[in-house]
Order: sequence, then structure tokens, then C-alpha cells
Amino acid sequence: MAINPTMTTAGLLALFRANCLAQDETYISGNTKKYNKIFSVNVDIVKELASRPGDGRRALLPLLNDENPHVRLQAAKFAYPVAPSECRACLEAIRAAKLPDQSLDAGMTLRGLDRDPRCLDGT
Amino acid sequence: MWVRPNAKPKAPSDDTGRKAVASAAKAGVRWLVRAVLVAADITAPEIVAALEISELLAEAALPYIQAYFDPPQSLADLNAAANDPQTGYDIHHIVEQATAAADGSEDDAMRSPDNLVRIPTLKHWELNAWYARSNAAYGNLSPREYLIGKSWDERRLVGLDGLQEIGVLNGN
Repeated sequence: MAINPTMTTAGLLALFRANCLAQDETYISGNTKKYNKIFSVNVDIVKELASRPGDGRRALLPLLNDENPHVRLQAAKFAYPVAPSECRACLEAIRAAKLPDQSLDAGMTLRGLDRDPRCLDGT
Repeated sequence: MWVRPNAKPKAPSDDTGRKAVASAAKAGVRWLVRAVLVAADITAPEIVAALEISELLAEAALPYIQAYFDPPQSLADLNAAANDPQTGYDIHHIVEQATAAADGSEDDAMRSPDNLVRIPTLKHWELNAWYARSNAAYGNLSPREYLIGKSWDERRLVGLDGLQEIGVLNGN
């Protein structure tokens, strides 16, 4: 899905968050196909943000405090290249919370970063 | 899935129906575990008794939920338990079968006792789902896609990491 480049940063953030919430629902339903389809859209959103002056991925940082752990997780992973300290702290908190699904993902991401600090630079 | 006590559900006769029931049951059990962990913030299987679920579902789900709360074990113990299948547990391949070499050259290693562990079914589902979901830390591929073609050692390392992170294997 191509992201409309005329969308405001706030609009992109709202779409990113709504997508994360929809992904979160798939943890219960087990609908991996839907999860991955949404993931691709969020990758496009983050690419659009990254292309904006000053690297718009920093706009994701308020989502590190979102009430939903999946929103926090995805924001931390996609914003990591521009704010590694804050994002690592967020990932460590999610890992420590021992939540089903998100803590596994956060922990595996932290292990990946320990072995390859650039593993989240792909966006 | 909510079922009245004493009501005996009939097994669906076709594959689609059976899959639908299995899917609903799976979602129900996952929901229960999530509710226990997230909402109640209680990490003891006894909480199941307090949940207002049907007797039938509770009886069926209890072994799975109890297994979910097993403490981490050594790799040797998990390997040994693979020879003793139990309700609530699955046999898991540390190096995923889905990443096996297409020419069959890894078949023996895949089936070796060293690659097999018995883990709680619900954690097996969780791990499998993690392997299948697209992931920014794996080049925006799923870990399963990313690991195809990687060395045995790299795949095993990820497999052992996953067992530790999910609280099955000692060492985290």
C-alpha cells in the first residue's frame, strides 16, 4: 500500500497506531497473514516518516508511552535508529513485564541488537 | 468458547467445522492466559479456578494453563522430557523444521534427541507465531523466512534464545 506523501505526520502516526492495535488483535485470533499485511503498511509509513526533513521517525517517540504494549513495541523497534537509548529502555521494560507475545519479541530484539547493533536499521 | 455445563457439544462432521472449533478453542485458551497475565497480574495457575468459565472448558484447558506456568528447566531436562509426551505439552524442534535444507541433508539432525524438547503447548504456539510474523529486526521478514539458508549454529542459537526468552529454558 503506497502511503500518500501529502498525509500529515500526525495523520501517519494515527494510522501507525491504529495498525498496531489491529495487529494486537491478531495475537488472539492467530491471524498471522493479517498481521504481516498490516506490518507492510507500517513499514511504508515509517519509510515516509524517515524521508521527511529531520527524520520524522522521531515523531514515533511519544508512542513509547502508549497504553498498549504492542504500540510501544512497534514504535520502539521502528524508532530505534533515531533514538536508541529511549527505545532500548522501552524494549527492556516490555521484556521485563513478561507479557505474552510482546515480551518474547522485545527480548529477542534486544538479543539481536546485542549481536548486531544495526539489526533495526533496515527501514 | 462458552459452553453450558452438562451440554455435550457434538463434534463437527466436516474439516471446516473441526478447524473452526479448534481455532475458537485456541483463541479461547490464549485469551484466558492473557487475561490471567495482563489483567489480574497473577502468575499462579490457581487463578483459573476463579475464572467464570464453563466446567467443560476449564477441564480441557487446565493442563495447558498449568503447563504454561512451569518454571524454566535445563536443556537436558527438556530434551529428556521429549520422550515423555504429556497433555498440555508439545514436542518442539529447537532448529525449526521449516528451515531445514530442501535436499534432506539435515533430516537426521532435525530428528536427533538433541534438537527435540518438550515445551508447554501454549508457549509452542507463541514461539511459532513469533517465527511467522514479519519483524523489523529480521530485515522486515519473518524470522522463519530470514533463517532459511542460514547455518545450523545460527538457527540453533535463535532457537535457544527463544526458549530462554519465553521462560522455558534456564539461563535468561
